[in-house]
Amino acid sequence: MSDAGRARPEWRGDRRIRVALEVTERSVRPAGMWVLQGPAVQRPSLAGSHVARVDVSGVPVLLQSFEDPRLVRGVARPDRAGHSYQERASATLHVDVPLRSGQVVDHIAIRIADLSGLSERPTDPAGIVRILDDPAVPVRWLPSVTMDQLAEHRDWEAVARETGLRRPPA
Amino acid sequence: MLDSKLFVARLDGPFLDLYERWWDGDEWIWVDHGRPEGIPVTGVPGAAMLNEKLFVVVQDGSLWERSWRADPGQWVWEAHGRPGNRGINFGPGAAMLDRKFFVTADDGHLWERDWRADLDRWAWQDHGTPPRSGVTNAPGAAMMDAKLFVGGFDGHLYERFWNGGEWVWVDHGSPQGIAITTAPGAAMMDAKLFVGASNGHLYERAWNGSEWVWVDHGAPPGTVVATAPGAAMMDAKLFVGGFNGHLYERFWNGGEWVWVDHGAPPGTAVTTAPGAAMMDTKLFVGTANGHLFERFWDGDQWVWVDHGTALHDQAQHVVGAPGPDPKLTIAIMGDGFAESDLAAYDRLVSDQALRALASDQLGNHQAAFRVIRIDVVSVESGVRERRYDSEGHVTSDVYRPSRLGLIPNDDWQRCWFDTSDFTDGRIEKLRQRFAADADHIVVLVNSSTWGGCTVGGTSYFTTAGGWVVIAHECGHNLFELDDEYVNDDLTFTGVSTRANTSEQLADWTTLKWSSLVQSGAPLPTDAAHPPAGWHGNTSVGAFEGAGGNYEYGLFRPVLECRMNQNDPPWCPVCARKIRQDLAVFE
Repeated sequence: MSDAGRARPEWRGDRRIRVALEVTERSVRPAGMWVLQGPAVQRPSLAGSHVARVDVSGVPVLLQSFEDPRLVRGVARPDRAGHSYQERASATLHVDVPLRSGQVVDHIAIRIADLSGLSERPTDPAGIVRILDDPAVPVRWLPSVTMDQLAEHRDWEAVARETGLRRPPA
Repeated sequence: MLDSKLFVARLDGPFLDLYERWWDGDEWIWVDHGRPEGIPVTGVPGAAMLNEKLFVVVQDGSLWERSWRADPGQWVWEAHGRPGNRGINFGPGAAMLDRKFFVTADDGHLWERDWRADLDRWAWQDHGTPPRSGVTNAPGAAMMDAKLFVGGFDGHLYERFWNGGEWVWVDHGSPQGIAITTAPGAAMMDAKLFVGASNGHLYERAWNGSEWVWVDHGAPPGTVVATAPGAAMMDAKLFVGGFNGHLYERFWNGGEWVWVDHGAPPGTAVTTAPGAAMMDTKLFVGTANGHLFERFWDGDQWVWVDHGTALHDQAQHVVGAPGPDPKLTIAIMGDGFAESDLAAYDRLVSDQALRALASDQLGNHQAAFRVIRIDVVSVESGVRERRYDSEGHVTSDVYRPSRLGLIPNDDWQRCWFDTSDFTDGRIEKLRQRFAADADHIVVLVNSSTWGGCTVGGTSYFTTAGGWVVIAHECGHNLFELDDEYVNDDLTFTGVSTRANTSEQLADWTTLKWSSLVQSGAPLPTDAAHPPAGWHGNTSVGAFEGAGGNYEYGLFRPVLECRMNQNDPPWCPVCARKIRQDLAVFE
């Protein structure tokens, strides 16, 4: 993992693009994006069933974990323990893309891995990167979102203006 | 303006401001334009020009312009002062040529406010009073950019007319000697206008080609005219408010004028002149309960649309402060809370959401949080409620137009809530507008039906479950904690990724929470026979049964924990995970 943060080892970059992703069973597409000032945070433990891996200029910079974004969980009944579960056709997930001031960014990739099929896996960021990079581990990947796809979204112009990011040449 | 916005003044309550009601492409929202230099707005806004400016009178009787400046990209206030140092009583109105309009001063004079291109500034021009009279209401019914009409102290209708060389007064008298009592309005075809008179009739003053004549339209059936006429459409209809609180249409059906009773808005009465006609299919009125109502032709029938009280959505940080330093950021918003419910909503946020976020060990880590309370104002109190039978058929569906469209259904298997097509989009819109950095959203729903549901990073809760339900869900949503109860008889296989549950271990010294295990506690630990002196919440062992479904093969650290029974505090193992997760934000 690269460490773009300065103040704390878990901080990444000094600002970030928050990308809203619409996730279906087989697709992921940008639904919106905006710039947030301040670094993204690498959480120390990633226990959720899914992990979003964010690469900037070819380097993994942030992992975020969460439950299946399409999973809907109801609270227990007043007189009986136990959640209810359903699944939605689509849901929105938010992922941060950390950026450093002055950084030349020629590539962004957001990839979501479904780790629910693994009977055993690490939860620390370094360990997760290892298994994500290991072709022998049967990770189910959802389609990637690239910088090209981000640049096609209507919000990109404002993001590019604020960050100085430029759409990669075709 | 643009058939998608109108302006009103709020004349009571906490914000005596100018308000815009704006269709943002998804819903009508209130935009607070504030007040100029802190002076409360006291007059009805008017004289809109060029879709970018309008004028309003404030408490000291002075006139202010509110205009959109493309250069800074924002609305700005500009002072127009007082005409002849007199306070303005009525207007602005009778806008002409996008550069002039008229007001009535407190001495009964009619004043023109005119953009003087030769001077490159706005100027006041005193039109004086009608002969032996004074102006007693707002100027209106502008025609041909050369004339307007006012009511006089003497009950006459007066025309102020530019004859090509000078402005002159024309006395139109009064219909059948009956004093006119409302401002003139609903001008049509540059040849007619309407007024209300002291006998409660609506009168038309019309140019018949050779002279001006009065036409008595009578009174609405069973009542009398109570407001000025307005909202003229298609040169064939206009609207007035009746003394009985109904809205009435006066309509030329091709052969004769007829009255159409539109009734009263649900639960209230019309109190202001109809205005802001749009697209020949809608108009707006103010009502006795302080709401703005739209009357809208939906293609088949006229319907009432309640726009609620003029109050804008707002947000404030209730834990932490805005800034770039990373915090675990949570936005709380409400659904089904009208203006009158906002104090209760505020208490609910404190008593349920904030209490959950400060519960137990979280109380020591408030510096890690940033919590933004968003006050989303719904038109009505409460939300739509829907019920199903055991076969999934809807048995009842009681509609209420809440802003986020969340619909409690009292059905565990349906996650307690149905959503509307617009629910996700509106929550996302509010997130971006008020809490762009929010990592999680909590929606408090104004319903006493039991319910709580999490979808991705957004959770909805009714008021019924209380803060302990929210706290349990926070354990899942913020800290990825597992359930510690068991409600089924499945056997867990695999390795738990959760901090507070463990698979069966061959070597219990490798237990992930071994450093917290009670000295001398056997591992695994028998829940039926814990060691002497065992504390259900704080004594840590490894008890079989966890994860909701796994009676076998999955172990929990304690007997009592918020991730088990909701009520007890988080156990030492959960607390450690919480501390570790929050450390990166402190």
